[in-house]
Amino acid sequence: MSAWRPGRRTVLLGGLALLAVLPWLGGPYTTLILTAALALGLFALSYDLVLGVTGLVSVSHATLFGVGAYGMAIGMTRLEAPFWPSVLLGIGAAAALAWVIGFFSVRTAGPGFIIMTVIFAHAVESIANVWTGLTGGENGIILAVSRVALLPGLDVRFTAGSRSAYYVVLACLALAYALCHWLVGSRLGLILKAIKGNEPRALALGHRVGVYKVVVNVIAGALAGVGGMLYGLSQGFVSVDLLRVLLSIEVVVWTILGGPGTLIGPVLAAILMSLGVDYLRSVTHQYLFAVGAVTLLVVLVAPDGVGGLIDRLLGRPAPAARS
Amino acid sequence: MTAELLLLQLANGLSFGVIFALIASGITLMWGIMDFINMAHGDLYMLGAYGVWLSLVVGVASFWLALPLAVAGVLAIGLLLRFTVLRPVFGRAPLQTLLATYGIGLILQQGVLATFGPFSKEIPFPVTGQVTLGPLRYPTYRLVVIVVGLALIVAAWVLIQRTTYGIWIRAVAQDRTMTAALGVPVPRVYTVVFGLGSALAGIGGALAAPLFGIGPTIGADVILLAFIVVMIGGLGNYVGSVVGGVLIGEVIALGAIWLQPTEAYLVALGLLLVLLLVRPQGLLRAAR
Amino acid sequence: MLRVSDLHVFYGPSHVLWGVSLEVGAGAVVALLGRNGVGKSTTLKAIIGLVPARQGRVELATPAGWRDLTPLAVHERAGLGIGYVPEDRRIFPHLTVRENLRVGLDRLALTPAARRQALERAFDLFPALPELLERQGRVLSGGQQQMLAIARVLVLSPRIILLDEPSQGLSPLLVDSVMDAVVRLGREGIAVLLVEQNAVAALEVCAHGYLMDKGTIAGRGTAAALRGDPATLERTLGVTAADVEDAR
Repeated sequence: MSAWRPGRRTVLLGGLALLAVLPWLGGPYTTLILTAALALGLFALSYDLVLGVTGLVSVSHATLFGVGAYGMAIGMTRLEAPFWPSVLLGIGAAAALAWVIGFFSVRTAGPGFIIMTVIFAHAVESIANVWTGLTGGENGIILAVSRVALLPGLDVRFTAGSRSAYYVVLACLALAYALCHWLVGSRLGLILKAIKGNEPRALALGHRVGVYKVVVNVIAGALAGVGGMLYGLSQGFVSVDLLRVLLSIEVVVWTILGGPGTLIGPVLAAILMSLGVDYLRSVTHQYLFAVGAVTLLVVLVAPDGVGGLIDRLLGRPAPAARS
Repeated sequence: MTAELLLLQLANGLSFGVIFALIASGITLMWGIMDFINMAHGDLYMLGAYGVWLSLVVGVASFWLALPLAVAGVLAIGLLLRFTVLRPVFGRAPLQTLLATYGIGLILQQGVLATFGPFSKEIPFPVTGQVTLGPLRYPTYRLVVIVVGLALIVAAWVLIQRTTYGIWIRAVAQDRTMTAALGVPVPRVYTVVFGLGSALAGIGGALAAPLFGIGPTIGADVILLAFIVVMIGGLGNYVGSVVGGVLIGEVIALGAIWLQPTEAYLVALGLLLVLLLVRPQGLLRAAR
Repeated sequence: MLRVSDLHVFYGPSHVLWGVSLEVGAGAVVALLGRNGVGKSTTLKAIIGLVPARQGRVELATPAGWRDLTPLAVHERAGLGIGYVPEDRRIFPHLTVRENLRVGLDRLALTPAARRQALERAFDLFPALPELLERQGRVLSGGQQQMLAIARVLVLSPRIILLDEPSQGLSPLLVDSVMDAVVRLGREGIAVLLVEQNAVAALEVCAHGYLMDKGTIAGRGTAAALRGDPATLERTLGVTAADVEDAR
């Protein structure tokens, strides 16, 4: 992109160091917002496996994010289960739903997949809105968690705005990044990239494309569920907002802006954009206007993301927006 | 449960179905000819309902005058979008049309919310009273909805089957570049389809307004069912979307005898999933 | 009638046409010959506008003088009188034969008499078509599809027809009748730019020919001259002198 290109490792370590310092620059409220942004970064990272790496357009990723969070929250509150079983319930719920969505959606060719994910996303949102006995609706479920026994002997203070919560989320994000990076380079990653590059060819080579699409949706769904749980834990509650179609659309926008398939790009875009939306929400009730406008503008101005936009402004040919 | 209740709900299902079909047919046509996923389609329906309400509030004397005004308004907004922000989006990948139209839908919803407030509006039935249909006494207005809706659906079908633009619409759906290579002004075909789809959604919203009430999110509420209808009918299949619309209307109306509305929605979704297992191309084959 | 100069076309990063120039006179039948994959079809697509040209011009003689087509969209080029018959015929599968003919015809806003006349002209050339009018495109045989594909542009009274591999997949008998049709088009004053793998058949019906190789024009001449130059034919087409002689 530019003449000076620091190594990926340098950038990552520098970014990590910067993120580690951030919570010391403000009060608990700042930390609270930053923690949420990191959890959304993890969410965007998981989505990049679907859209960026595999080229699969799913509009139900927030459904998995939210269902993961709800799985854990329902385990901890309604079922009064301990922490880890609740987490497993959340991951299991997100992965299971991801399998269901993937299973039915891949049965329809091409664009049918997108519309099926839209249908599932809307359906789950409608159910969550109505079934308030389970979800708590707009008010959500309050997670009265002050300490989490992450490991035997390692209790972490997990209240809203605590720095320890922030570092746990940051550590999870870094781990998830390492996992995704490894996954992309693995045999599975190569097949997923082959599907994105040329699906008929991947099919002709004997890869069971449908199965791999479901598998990547399940892996990314489980990871999104983890993101949702971290979000819920760090904010102290889980609400229907976490599984709205709106959030599914936002994660698509973040991924496109950050550069699909780059892993780090979507994470950065998610962190920055969600902080921006948070700011807007604090100054105006009409912030959804801005979200809508940004969604539209991304398509009109930067369909190849920020990188593509910069290339175009500098007069370099960018690939046409046909992902 | 009496036979009369069953009959009543069957008739109600037809009235729902006609409205679903009016919305879904636009979505399926736009998809069929331009690979265009219109997430704002529900919001055009919403604008149709608001159009009628607004016309009545500002002093239009009758619902039957307000309805064409509202439809003209929705048509104008649809075409305005087509010629401004959506102009560069046609022909791009489905994801891009989806995002652009979702953004537009959000802006429309927020605009209505900011202008008219969050509370739902109601308008009186333009015709009151009941008609006797055999053993059934049925609200006249619902009958009007069924008749008007079916008439429009048939009219649109005739347009697609018989007229020049109809042949062009089907030709573009089957082979866009060859149609252009024969000299057909494809962008104008897009405009006709976008206008037709917008108008049908606007009519659906206007007709539904007295029945279902009016609020900023009614479009978002109905879009789920509309997409289910489109998938059941087969993407791009006009007749399929009409059949699917009536089918889902009946499922919801009959479901309402025993179930909560959301549960009836789930039955509709379940129906789609079963169909996908049995016939992945949709109810009818995707004959365009 | 048609003038193509210095046409360069890219598919993504690969450069497939390297400065193609050719000319088709009014009412002339001109063949564009070459092996598989040398850019013949791409040249036709670039003329009608289905693939964008990075460089070069495509000009068409209209009653108002030469017209540069380069900035025009596909349907505008077709509207100026270019008929395109693609290699795979691209019949609309779910339209009837009548509707297939109407797609282009309906844009002309003809009087009923002129419309009948336009159809008569096509039926004259392909007498089998009138019986097929209510048949769906997808049930036609290869030969019927080829007839319909030519008829579909013929009813539009084009100035020039771009004909891509009309003999492909047809039985020898059908190849002859399609080639007869090409000759008759030329006689009716419609220019034809004919892309053919079947060089022998093409040289029978055309007046001039261009030889293409690796995205460039490698040679040109009258049909007689090309037939009389077996060395060049063999080099660019892989056709031996014996093939040419056999065909005579």
